[in-house]
Amino acid sequence: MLVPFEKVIHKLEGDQGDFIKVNQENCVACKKCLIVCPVNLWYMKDGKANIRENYKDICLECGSCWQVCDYNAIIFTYPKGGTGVIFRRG
Amino acid sequence: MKYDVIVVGCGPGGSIAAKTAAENGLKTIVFERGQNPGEKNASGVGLTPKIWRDFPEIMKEMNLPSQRVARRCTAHLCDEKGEIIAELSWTPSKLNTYKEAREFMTVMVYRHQYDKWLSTFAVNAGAELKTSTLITDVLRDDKGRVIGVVDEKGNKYEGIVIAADGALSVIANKAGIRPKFGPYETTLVVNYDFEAPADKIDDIIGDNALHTWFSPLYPAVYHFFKKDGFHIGLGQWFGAIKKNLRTYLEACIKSPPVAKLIKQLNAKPREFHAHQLPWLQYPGKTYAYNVMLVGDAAGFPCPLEAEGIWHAMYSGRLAALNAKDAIDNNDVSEEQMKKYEDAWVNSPLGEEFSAGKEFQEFWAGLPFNTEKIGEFNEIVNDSLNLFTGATSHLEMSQLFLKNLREKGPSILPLFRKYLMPYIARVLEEELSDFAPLTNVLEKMLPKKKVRRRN
Repeated sequence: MLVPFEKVIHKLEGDQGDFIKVNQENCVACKKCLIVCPVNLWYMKDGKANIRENYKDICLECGSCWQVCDYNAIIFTYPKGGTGVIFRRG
Repeated sequence: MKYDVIVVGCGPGGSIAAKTAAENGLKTIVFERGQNPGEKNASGVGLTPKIWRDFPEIMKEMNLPSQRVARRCTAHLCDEKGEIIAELSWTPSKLNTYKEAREFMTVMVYRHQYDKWLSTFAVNAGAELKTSTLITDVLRDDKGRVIGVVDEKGNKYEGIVIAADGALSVIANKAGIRPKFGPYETTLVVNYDFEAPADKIDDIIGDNALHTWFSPLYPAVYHFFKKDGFHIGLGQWFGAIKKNLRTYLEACIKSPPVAKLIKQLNAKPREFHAHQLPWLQYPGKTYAYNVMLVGDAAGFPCPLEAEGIWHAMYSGRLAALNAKDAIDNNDVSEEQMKKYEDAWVNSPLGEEFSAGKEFQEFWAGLPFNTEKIGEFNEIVNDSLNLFTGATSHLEMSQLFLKNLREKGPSILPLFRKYLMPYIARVLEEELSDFAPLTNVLEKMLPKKKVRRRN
């Protein structure tokens, strides 16, 4: 019955900017970002955390990846004003 | 650009702060990173009666398309398959100290509508609303003191800063109040919104609009009905997240009783949300030189049930009143800003945290603990079975107490550790232990069968 969550995530128009950046030198492969991200944006490659190239399509801006990273490997800022996720029924 | 007050974030806390500041004659601007207030909301369980008590002149005007009044709560206690084994349902108590609290529990609305509506009060009071604008930093003077904010385009705004910018507060971070919340200070909440025909919800749910689900399958789930849809979601402290929370939520949605209800309501998923919800035992520092934190940015959601809208509105008003005092005194020092913290600590908001540690630990220890909640649910069900006649009442009592003695060691310590300290705090009495009650229960176990007639 449940539709894939990606189909019920809504975004405003416009360039969001690069609001999540990964500093892989700091990554210790703890994988906390992989576990916590509710929309599965993270994966491991060569022993380091990577974010999906198209993350801006479904990122909900919860900042969980930044919250759990104890090594400052994830830099999270919000998308540019007036862009990004919209919660019409939040 | 110079203002008296700069409010960052136009949620409920930001709108009330801006309204109050503008009403008091202060030149006020409020920034919102969405195209409209409410687009980036952090959801919310609903509007509690306290909002009507403390903001009557605003709330008497509320009439939003999505609102549904909840006059009843229902808790579903489920087993490891998600099947309901016992249910509890309750209504507003007559012991409540004011009228609205005796009449309803919450009013459910979509925040997208509520926040936008609330922002009109700020604008009508004279505050300038600047949308689609992200504040990225604080502005400092040559002595390094915060004197305002900077937006994403580098525009500078000077004035007293009221940070209503949520759990991931940029201002709290940049002003040096905190880098981020700790692993047991903030939760991740995942939530599905389902649409359903309003008349079906009216027929099947009515005003029994506040449901909760407890099962070993998932940490406690809330299920709250609006006019033409519902939210179903759950949260967990970051320090306790062991797997993707969405998988727990989907397990609940697919569990037999929830799936059946969804089918009855002809409900369909409409939107998926995730956000952070601060849930602290006690808030940290809520001010700095020229800066005050309100709402989620301050960590104010209630430590018992994590409701935060009243808390945001109430703290927003207190912060704006202190900004007025600061302007009148020509003083934006730490000492002057601390008056805001003193004000909330000594208000009904501060009272919310009088047993914050006990509340927070209770939730972490039981409803959000999938290893413990199943046994608790069974004990509740067993105790209710004492009043059915399938097995003789005496034998059932004996079986119950025997079972309680066997299972007790894993459940009773939770009550001893978490619930009893809270009761003691509330009663302001020393209840040193839960042991007296368990001792009584054990003494009630008959040593041998007694035939009273003979």
